Amino acid sequence: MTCQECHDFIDAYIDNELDVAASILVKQHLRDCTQCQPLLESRKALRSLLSNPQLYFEAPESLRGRIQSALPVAPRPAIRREKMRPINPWLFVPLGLAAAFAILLGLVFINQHAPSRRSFKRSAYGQTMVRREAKILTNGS
Amino acid sequence: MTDEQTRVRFEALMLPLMNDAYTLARWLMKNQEDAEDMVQESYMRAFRFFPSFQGTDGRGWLLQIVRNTCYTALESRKLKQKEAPLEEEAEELEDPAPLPFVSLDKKATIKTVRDAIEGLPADFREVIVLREIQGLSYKEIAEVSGVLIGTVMSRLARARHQLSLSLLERKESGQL
Repeated sequence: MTCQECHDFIDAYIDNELDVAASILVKQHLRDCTQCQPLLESRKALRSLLSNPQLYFEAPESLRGRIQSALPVAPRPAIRREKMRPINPWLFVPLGLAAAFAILLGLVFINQHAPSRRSFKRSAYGQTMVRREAKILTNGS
Repeated sequence: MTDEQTRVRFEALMLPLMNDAYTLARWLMKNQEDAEDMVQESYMRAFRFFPSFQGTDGRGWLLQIVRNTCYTALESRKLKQKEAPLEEEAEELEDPAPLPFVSLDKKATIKTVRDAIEGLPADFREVIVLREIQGLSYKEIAEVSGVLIGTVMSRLARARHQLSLSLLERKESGQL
């Protein structure tokens, strides 16, 4: 590894962002090269200065409250309000007519397809009921 | 998921990250008042886009929004005109000459270090804060800043070098 390559990779090296093979090459170069060693020391010194926790800021407590009170209840309140329009009362007229027509159709259908009293009497259950009815009338007379 | 559940999930995931968001905004905006406004605006934006958030890296996602919110504000105020252009800075990396090392004193005062960081161009300041203060990986920084990992690596090298030079100048002028 050349000194230029070492300089190119030294930041990734100290940040543990190099793969193992490249990391070993940089490490070996830094061990043997007295010209590149001061750069490593400089980086370490800078890192030491920047590790001071006072460089990290804590958000004021008032900001947390401001944000929580400013958050809307739902993520898309504006869109929802647009969809909630008042219903036009004239819409009920065609709806009512359609409902009445549907009921009328239903009644006609039932009338045509409901089993008649004659067909009921012809069925096995119907005949049993007729016989039972006749027997009750006979006994009663 | 109901609206109430969405809000509960948002608060559980995002509110604990407020110090990270504030730290980045504080360094980019350089003052407390602007930083607070940027964090609040960022949280409103994040909440609006939260239903589409599918990832697991909430911190990276939020920091990206904070970063973009700050840059939008800086650009609208034309504060960035004073900063060094990013792309031109990156082009200069073609220079094959290695960066000279800088001997630093570890006893620098916190104010001097803060002043030196604030004196960096916004792009350098951003990468220093994300890496050194927030501890993000190169991949995470690339996602937050919207650049390639190689750009993160080269920008970080230049930023560290410039910061070292700035601290050395302050040392020579008796501030350290």
